[in-house]
Amino acid sequence: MEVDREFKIVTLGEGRVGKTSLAMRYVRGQFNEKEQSTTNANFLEKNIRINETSIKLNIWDTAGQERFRALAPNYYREAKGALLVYDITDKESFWKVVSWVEELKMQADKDISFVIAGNKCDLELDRQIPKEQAIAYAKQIGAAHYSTSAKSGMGVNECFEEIAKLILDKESRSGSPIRSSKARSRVIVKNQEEVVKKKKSGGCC
Amino acid sequence: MEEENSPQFNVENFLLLLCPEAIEEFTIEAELDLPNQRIIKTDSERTRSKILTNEEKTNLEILLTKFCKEEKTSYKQGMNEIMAPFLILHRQGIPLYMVYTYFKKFVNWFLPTMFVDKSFRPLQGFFVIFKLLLRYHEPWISNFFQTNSISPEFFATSWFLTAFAGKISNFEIIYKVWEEMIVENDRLFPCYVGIAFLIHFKAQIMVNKDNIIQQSISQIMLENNEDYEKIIQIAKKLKNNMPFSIRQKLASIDIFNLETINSTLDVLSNQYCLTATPRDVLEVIFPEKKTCSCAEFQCVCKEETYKTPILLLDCRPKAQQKHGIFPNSASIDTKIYEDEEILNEIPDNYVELRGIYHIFLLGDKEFQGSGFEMEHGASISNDQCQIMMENLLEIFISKGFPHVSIIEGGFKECHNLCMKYSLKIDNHKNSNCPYCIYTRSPSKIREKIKKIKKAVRNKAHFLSTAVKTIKNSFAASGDDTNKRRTIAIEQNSQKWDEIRYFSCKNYDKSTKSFSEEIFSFLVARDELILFKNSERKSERNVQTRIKITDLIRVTSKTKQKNRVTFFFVKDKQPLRLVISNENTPNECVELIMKYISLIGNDARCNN
Repeated sequence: MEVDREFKIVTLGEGRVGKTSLAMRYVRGQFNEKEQSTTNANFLEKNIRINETSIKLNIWDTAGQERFRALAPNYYREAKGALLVYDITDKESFWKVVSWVEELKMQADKDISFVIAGNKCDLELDRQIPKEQAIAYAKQIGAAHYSTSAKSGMGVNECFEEIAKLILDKESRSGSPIRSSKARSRVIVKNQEEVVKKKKSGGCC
Repeated sequence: MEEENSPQFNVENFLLLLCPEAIEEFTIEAELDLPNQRIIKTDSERTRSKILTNEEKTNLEILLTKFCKEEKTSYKQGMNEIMAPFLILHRQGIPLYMVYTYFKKFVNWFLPTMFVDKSFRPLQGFFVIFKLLLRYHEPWISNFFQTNSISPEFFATSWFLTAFAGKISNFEIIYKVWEEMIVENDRLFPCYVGIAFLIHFKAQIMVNKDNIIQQSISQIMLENNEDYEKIIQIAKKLKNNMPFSIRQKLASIDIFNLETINSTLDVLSNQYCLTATPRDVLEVIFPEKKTCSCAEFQCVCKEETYKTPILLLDCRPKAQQKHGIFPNSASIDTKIYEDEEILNEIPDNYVELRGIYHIFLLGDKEFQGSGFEMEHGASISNDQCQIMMENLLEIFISKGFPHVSIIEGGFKECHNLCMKYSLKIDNHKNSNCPYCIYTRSPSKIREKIKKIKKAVRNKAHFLSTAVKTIKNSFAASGDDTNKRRTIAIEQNSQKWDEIRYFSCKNYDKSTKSFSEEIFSFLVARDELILFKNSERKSERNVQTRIKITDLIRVTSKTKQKNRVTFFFVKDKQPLRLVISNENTPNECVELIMKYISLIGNDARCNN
C-alpha cells in the first residue's frame, strides 16, 4: 500500500491506565488482561485511510511512570499527535493527563494534536471522573475526548483515527503537509565497505 | 508465552556471593497504604503473571511496599521485575525476610539510587556510557544507530533499569547474569552485556529500518543458556579488551552519586570517544621502561595492565613534529593537511590492523571535540591539528575501526611526562621546544615571562594604531566591492602581520536570504569589525565589533563555503555572513583561526 502521509503519535498517561492495551487493541486487535508494565517503549505501525489519503501511523507507546518524564523529550520529538490516556476509575490518572498537556505545550511540536481517551469504560460502575468534566477539559484545550475500552474495543479505532484527522486538518489549514516523522535519512549498513564519510571541512551555519 | 520455570539453577553460590553474612529473621509486613498503592498492586498482579500465584503476587505487593517505605522512595516500575526472581526463591523454602534482604542487597549494590532519583539520572548515565562504549567497540552498530536516529533510551531502558531481569524470561539465566555482575563487581557491567547482546543479535537487528529497529531490539528476549553463554563471553572480552586507563576511568565513574551526577553527565556527554592517557602512551613508546608509579597514577603495576597491541598514530602537522617524535609511534601522512582525498584514504592504510590494534591518535595538545554528535566546525581552541583530529576520528569510526581513542593532553602532556622521567624523545631539542618552557630553569622562565609581557604591551599598542590606520584607509578609499585589501601595519610584530577586510552580505538564517546591502568585514588581530558601506564613501558605520577572544566557534558550510557563521560567548547572537568572493572565505577563516591560536598561545604563556 502506497503511503501518502506518515505520522508519529505518542501515547501518554499514568502507569497502568491502559496505553499499551489501547495500542495493541488498535494495531493487533488483541487484548491481554495482564499486560506487563511497559519499561521500554513499544513502537507499532498501522496503515489507515482517511478519505482519500493513505496514512501510516507510527505509534510510540510509552512507559507511564515518572522515569518517562525525564526521557520523554526523546520520544515526543517530531510527534504530530498525542493520545492522552486516563483511567475513568482513577481520578489521579486524569490529573496526570492535565500535567502531560502542560508538558507537551512547553516541550513538544507546537502543532501537536491531542486526543484524550477515558479508558476502561467497561468499568462504568467504578467511574471516578465524570464524563462531562473530562469532555469540558478536552474542549478547553482544543482536544477531542473519547470513551474507550481496550477490553471491549469500544472507541479505540475512533480515537486513533481522530488524531490522524486532526493532523490532516492542521495540514490543510496550514496549506502544506506537516513534516513527516520520516524526514530523516534511512541507511542500513549491510557490510563494512558501505559507509565512507566525507571529510569534514566545514559545517552548518 | 513465558515458560513456566521454577529455578533449577543452584542459587546458593549466587546468594552467598550476594549476602555472605547471616541474615537475622524479621517479620515481613507493611500497611498497603502508599499514595500510589494502586500502581503497586496492579504491577504486582501483572508481573510474571503466568508464573506467580495469587499468593505470590500478594507477597510481591507487600515486599515492594515495605521496601518503598523503608527506603523512603516512591514505587517505580522496574522494582517489581527485580523482586520477582528473588520472590520465586520462596518456593525453594527461602523465607520472605531473606527474599526481601537479598532484593534490597542487590538493589543497594548495583542500582543504589536508580529508584530514588526522580529524573532517573543514573539511567541517563548508563545511556551515555553505553553509547561511548558502543562506539569504541562496535562502531558499525554505533554508526547504524546514529544514522537511523536510534537512541539507547528506546530499547535499553529495561536492560539497565532491571539489570536485565525484564528481558530474561528464564530465572536461572537472570541469576547467572547477576552472579557475573557480582563477580565483576562492576555496576557498569550491564553496559558490556548490552553491547554483547547487540553483537550477538546483530544480524537480526540490522536488517530492519527506522523505528522498527528499536522495536525489534526491544522484543528480543534472552531465552536460552546458549545465547547467555555467548553473550557473557563477549561482554567479558569487551570489558577486558580496553586500555588500562580507560578501564580505570570507567571504574571510577559513579553514575549513582546524585551529588556529582550532573557534572559526570556533562563531562561524558561532551566526549566524542573514550580517551586514553599519556601513561598509556608511555607504555607504548617505552615498553622496556618502568615508569609506573602506582601511588601517583593510581594504577596497578605494569605487569597487570592490558596486553592489547597499540598503534600510536602521530597526527600532528610537520611543523609540530619538529618539536620531537616519540619512538615506536607512526607518523600520519602529513599531506592530509593539504589534500582531502588523502585524508579519506588514511584508514585504508591501516585496514589490516582493524579490530586487532587499538589506535591512539596523538594531537599536539588537549583535544576539545564538540560532543558525541561531533558538530561540524572548529571551536576557538581548535587549531589546524585539532580539526584534523576530529576529521581522523570521524573517518576511522565511520570506516568501522573499533578501539580508536584520542590521547588526553596530546603531545604536550606526553612530552611533559617523558621529561619527568628523563625519557628521550627523538628529534627533541629543549631549546626549540615550546613545551620545554615549563621544564626550564626558573631564571630562564623569568626571562621568557619578561619577553612575553613586553610582547603583550606592544600588541595592545598595536591594536589602537591598527584601527586608526584602517579608519584612515577607509576614509581615503571606499571602493571595496569583491576586493580584499591588505593593509600593511608598520608597527606590527612579525607574527601579527596583516589586517584584511572582505566584502560580504548579512545572512538571515530564518528566511534563508541575504541582505541587499554590502558590508565590509575587517579581520584584525584582536578584533573583527563589520562596517556598513555608505553611499558616501568617506562614511562607514561600524555595525558590530567583536573581540576575537569572545569567539567560540567559526563554521562554514561544506557546500557553500562562502557562508561563514561566527558563534560567541555569553548568548550573543551568531553573526552570519556571506563572503562575496567565493575564493576568499577560506582565507578569512584561516586568518581568524591563526589569530585565535596566537591569542591562545600567548594567553597560556602569560599564565
